[in-house]
Amino acid sequence: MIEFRNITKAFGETVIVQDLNFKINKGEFCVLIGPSGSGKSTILKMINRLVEHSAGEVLFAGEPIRSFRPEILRRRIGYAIQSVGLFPHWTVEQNIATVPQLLGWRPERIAARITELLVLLNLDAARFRNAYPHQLSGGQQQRVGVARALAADPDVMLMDEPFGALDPITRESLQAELLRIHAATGKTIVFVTHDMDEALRLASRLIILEGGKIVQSASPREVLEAPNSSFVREFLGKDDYGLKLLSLQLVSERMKTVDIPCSPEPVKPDDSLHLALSRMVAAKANRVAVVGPMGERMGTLFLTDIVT
Amino acid sequence: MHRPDAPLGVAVHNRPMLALATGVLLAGMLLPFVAHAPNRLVSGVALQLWQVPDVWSCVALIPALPLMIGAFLRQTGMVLWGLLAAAIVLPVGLTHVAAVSAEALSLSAESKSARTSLGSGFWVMILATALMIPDLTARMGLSPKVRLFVSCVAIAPLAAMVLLGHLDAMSIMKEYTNKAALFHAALIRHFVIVLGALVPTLLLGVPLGIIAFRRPAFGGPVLAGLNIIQTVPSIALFGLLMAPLSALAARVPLLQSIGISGIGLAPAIIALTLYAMLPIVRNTYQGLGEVPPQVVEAARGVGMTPTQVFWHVELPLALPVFLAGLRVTVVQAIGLAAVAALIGAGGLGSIMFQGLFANALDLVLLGALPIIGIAVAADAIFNFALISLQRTKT
Repeated sequence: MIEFRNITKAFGETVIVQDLNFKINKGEFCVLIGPSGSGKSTILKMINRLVEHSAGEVLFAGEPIRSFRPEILRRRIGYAIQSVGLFPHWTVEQNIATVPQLLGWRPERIAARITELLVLLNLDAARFRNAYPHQLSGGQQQRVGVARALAADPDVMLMDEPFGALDPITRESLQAELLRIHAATGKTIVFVTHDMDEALRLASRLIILEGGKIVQSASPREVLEAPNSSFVREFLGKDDYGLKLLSLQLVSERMKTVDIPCSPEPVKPDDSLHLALSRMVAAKANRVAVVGPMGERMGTLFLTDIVT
Repeated sequence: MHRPDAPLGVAVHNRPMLALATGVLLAGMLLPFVAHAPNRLVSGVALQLWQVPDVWSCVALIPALPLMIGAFLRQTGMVLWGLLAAAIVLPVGLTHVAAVSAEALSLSAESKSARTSLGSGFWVMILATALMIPDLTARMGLSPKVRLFVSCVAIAPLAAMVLLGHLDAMSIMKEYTNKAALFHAALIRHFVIVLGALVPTLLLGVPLGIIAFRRPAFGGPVLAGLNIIQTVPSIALFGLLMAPLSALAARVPLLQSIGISGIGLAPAIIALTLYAMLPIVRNTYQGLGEVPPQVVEAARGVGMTPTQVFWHVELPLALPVFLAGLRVTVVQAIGLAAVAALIGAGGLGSIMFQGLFANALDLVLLGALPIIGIAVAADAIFNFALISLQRTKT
């Protein structure tokens, strides 16, 4: 869907990105992560030409992005940034309608699409449709931002630290919704963040950047199981690295099909080992029951099996 | 509200109202209400409110009492509406007493050139009530539309009295009757000067402000230059323009044939344009500068063309600051246009200066009051527009 070929970007003398090559496939949830100054935001903005690359070629749907007029290209790519990016003088409805209007949709179609998106993002249409951004909470503003990016049903969504300004609880619920939307629509998402937990939670593929170069590009699990450098290892977090690993592994991988009494609240096979461990610690037990969707007993997970 | 410094339970709940109402009562009792003179050149005899030939004259002062008492009451909705009604009635009564007195005085006078002019007491009382009304409407938390409407209701009876000829016996209206044709021409001329300066200011100033914002290297010197112009006194600027313009007109007959010369309309409009430029350019520049960069980036990011970004995002978000600049410009131009009369541009200023040179105070007022009225009205309209804009946004 998106391909960077030998991309270099320099602002005057300062080289931000040098000789970058990567490909993002259709349907991937690709998270660009790195410390500040690693060039992640610049790379994202080169995709929709908010930043023009200095050398090389960026392909979008197989065609060089310079073969499109920038506005035409951008209308085909959803773009969401922090909540401050909403147009403060427009209502929620007008904000979401921006791209469809630029594309010249009929009013009935736009109105129907807005209703659809408000439902998709759990926003009460009656309450929010004609509200102004400043009347909304941070989380609601961000939902509107995502709805605006989705409005014209683009194949690709670019998201530049969209949840950066939110409190942890709101951020988690929006992450869950984004995952749900990704699963439901199969859109290609390119997401920039500096928060490793967010990256591990959302990504189907992580691209870890340092100083404008790709350090490692793999699935979160591969990165966690085999970090390819001390930089990646450190970036993953020295202290809770093990817990992060557990959060990507499933109960079904380690459970035994034995049926003995257990005190903690049971877990499901597709819960993470992190959750299972948490339940055991909370109940001061060394095992937890595994149950199926109907509550039927499937087996037991032992503490010793988590660490081996 | 409990006030420890009010042991007897008497507390002032509206200090501005107390001050203004006291002012009204003192002015009504101590300052001359009207002055009567046998002709307009001598200063005449001052008459207090209780001395004028209208037995009911002091009744006009009665609304000042509830205004005074109201300052000590809790400012509930009922009290505020009562105060507002009293503040609207007070100037109507005073103006009516002044009109009746002037008529009685002119009937008893020997010559037709006898003059009754309004005294300082009248003006102080009118000014004090004019200050009460916005204070009250603000306390009542009325919407901008209703506040504008209240102001109109307060002004309407006074305007009606002027238009229906109720005040014709008063000196200022006699001056008007004598000079009606001249006054109308001057009024129109005043608008011509102001609009003549505003149109080129907007056509030049707005693009200049936009360029200054886009290219800071260019914007700095432009704003500095306009700042310097602003510091030149208006009369000096008019004078400075006379020499080059008359020289230009002498060289280029075409310019002369379309009415450009060292004195008259051309230098007046040019000078006012130069003055008006600074607030327009500066506020266009500042307004655009206050648009959050993230919003502009989002607008580009969703696929707006540069033109669309400007019209849909930058312009509407810069509008409040721009309108604040336009407000300053318009009010300033209405006032400065009066000075333009000195270089023969005409306008209401010419009537004012005629009065000044002839030592006829009422003629000065005939020129000055409409200027003040137009400036206040323009200011109120812009204020209304600005508040309405902010209401929809914040």
